[in-house]
Amino acid sequence: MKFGQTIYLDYNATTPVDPRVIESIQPWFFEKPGNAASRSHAMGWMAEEAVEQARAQTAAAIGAKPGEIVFTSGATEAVNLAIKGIGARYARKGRHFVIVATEHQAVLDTCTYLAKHGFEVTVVDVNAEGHIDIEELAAAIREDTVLVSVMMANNETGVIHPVEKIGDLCAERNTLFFCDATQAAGKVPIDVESMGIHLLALSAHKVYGPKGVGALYVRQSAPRVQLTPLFHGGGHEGDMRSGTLNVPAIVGLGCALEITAAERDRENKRLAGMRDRLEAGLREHLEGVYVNGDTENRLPHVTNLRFLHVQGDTLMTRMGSSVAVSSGSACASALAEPSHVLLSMGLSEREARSSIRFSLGRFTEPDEIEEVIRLVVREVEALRDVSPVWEMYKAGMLD
Amino acid sequence: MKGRYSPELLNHFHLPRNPWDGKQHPGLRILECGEPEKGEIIVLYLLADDQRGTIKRCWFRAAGSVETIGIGSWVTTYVPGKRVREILENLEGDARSALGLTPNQWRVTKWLARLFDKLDEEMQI
Ligand SMILES: Cc1ncc(COP(=O)(O)O)c(C=O)c1O
Repeated sequence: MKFGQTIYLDYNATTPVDPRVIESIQPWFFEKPGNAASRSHAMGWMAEEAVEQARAQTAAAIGAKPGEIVFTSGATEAVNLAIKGIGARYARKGRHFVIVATEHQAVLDTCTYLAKHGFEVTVVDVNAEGHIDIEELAAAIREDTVLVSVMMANNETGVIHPVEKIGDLCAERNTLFFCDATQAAGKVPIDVESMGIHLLALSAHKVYGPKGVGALYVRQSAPRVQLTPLFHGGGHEGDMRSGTLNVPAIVGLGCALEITAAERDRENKRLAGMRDRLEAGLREHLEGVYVNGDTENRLPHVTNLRFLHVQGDTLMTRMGSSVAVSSGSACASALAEPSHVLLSMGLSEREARSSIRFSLGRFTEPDEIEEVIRLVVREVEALRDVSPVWEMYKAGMLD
Repeated sequence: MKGRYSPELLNHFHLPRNPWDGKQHPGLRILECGEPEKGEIIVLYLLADDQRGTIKRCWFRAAGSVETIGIGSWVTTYVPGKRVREILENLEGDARSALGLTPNQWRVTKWLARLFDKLDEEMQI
């Protein structure tokens, strides 16, 4: 489905809200305006009931109990609450964190902040495929490590980390495991119990829900994880996140997660088929197209492609408004810096800048993929036609 | 994207003028500028009238960013008929106003200014 004139292949940046989700949200703006914290009348109770239903839906999507879900304004807040909340609460046990180099900016920046305030952070590297070495992760954990943060799936490459193994390791070493599942939710089956996850972040706008709402899972038993809240005032959400609940958005999150879970297996197959066709079609017609990251353990709807001797931003500008793709995470594109994820996988700055992320989704159709293949092939060829670098490469004077 | 590139620059980027077709010409000069290590290169293929110190024709090839390719195209339309000295004096200012360049994009016109400086030296010998 086209959005205006544009084929949208940037579902990792955000997704359109599913019309079924919009329908579920609608009544909560005007017809049912209650505050979920109002105890004195039916309108409040109704809102509370709706929030509790969404909490149950959210919990079900990750194998948690409803009482373990804290609603937030999105994954960034959930990440901040988890990391700063643990840092403050467990400071007496230790002040050391372990994270991975390819984590989202939300995790990296939060840890940079803590590092300026008396905490220590060890950053574990990844290999060329975007994977961590479990041994290396194990070696990074110390006596005073209070939290290990590893995302479930990477937002730029789609590479999926071996979460169960990390969960086992954290249990063995008696440290808490925080998993940013913002990109994995709805695509990868999640079970916080068997995965040994203590805290998990997710966001509605990556699963066809509204922007500005998300959740943090906080394990309540074996062990009971405690957090120092970021927000004070009213004691909402079990005192972990004060503030009047955004009822429509929370209803939308619950509904979006339920739909996504119900359709997941069929949808994953459909998306993987189109994604593989996109890669094959481009590589069939163009020389020098490489997939960044592991192609085995990867989300079904993402491909991060490097086009030899073509700058990603330049290619995107050639495509103008006909295709919406991205050269990194949405936050990074404002800075025009090469992707930290690709750099940490060992790509040079130039290689990182030659890369584009295509992320497909629920409203992507096979004929759009064919059109994108035609467009990208045409534009890459046009750029290479005027490129002295490509000419040298073809003459064997360059790698 | 809007705002980052002027319509004039985008026009040259999307419809490059005078891309070099690989044809050799007697007296063709090939000069290169940019930051090759970053994949930013403009190569100009120039026919000059050494007696008059003017440029007769100019073609280009370029790779890298949008502005590198767009300015590479524009310069091939700008220099023909002009004296190299004149180009040296006015190129940067004229490019900035004709293409509405942002300060970040001035780096490309600086490379070109150095290229014509080199050409000027060559033509004096
Ligand atoms: C892996 C990951 N974590 C966190 C976030 C931030 O999510 P939100 O936009 O809900 O704050 C994103 C969104 O880009 C993401 O991809």
